[in-house]
Amino acid sequence: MAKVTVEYKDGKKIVTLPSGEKREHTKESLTSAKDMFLRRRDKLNEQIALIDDDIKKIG
Amino acid sequence: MDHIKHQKKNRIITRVNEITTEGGLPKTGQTMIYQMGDDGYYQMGYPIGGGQRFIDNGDGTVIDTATGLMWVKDPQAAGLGMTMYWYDAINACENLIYAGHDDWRMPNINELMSLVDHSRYDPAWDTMFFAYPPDTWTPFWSSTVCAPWPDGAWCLYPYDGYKTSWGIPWDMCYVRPVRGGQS
Repeated sequence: MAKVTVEYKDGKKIVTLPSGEKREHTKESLTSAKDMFLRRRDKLNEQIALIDDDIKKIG
Repeated sequence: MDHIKHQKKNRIITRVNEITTEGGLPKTGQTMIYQMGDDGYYQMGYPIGGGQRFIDNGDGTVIDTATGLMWVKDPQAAGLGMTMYWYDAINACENLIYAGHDDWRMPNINELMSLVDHSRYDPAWDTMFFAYPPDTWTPFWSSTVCAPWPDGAWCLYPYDGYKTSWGIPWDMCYVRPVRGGQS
């Protein structure tokens, strides 16, 4: 199995890929990614609520 | 200057002719008309006139005449039926020797999404040409990294063709190798 290592230093998340290449994630980039997932979740929750409402009305 | 414009125009005409005769964007699969002007109404895309899009080569591979790509019909038959980490999935495709070919690779997200038939679900592809996956709620990896979240790669749920991103270091997905295409 290819191994990825993660370390946290200098206020960054540093991911070392199996190729040896390093990728850095800042707090800002991670917060922006989190926001993307939260927006996706909000939309999913909204659609689930609409379906729940339909199911309730069907009885 | 006019000469360059003329050359550019000729290149565009040649490419448009190639697309209309040899393929371009595939049809989505929707044939139902819900509203005039919708996808089912126009059914734009390749193949034109409802012709046959996929060719089963009978050796475990399928050719898509819309994209020119060759796909593994059933990853399980090629020894890739299990879920894998992203890096392992890439390596498995790169090392695959199947149906006499050794240039298999993991598809990018556009290539993977080109197989989705939006008239179907569970799975959202034509099972006459592409085997039923072991589980339609585990995505298939693409080789494309998610730009807003580089810890993840784009992948696709077989259930409905939904594109999502799963974690490269910790998630395990299926893979369907592909070969060919333009570089």
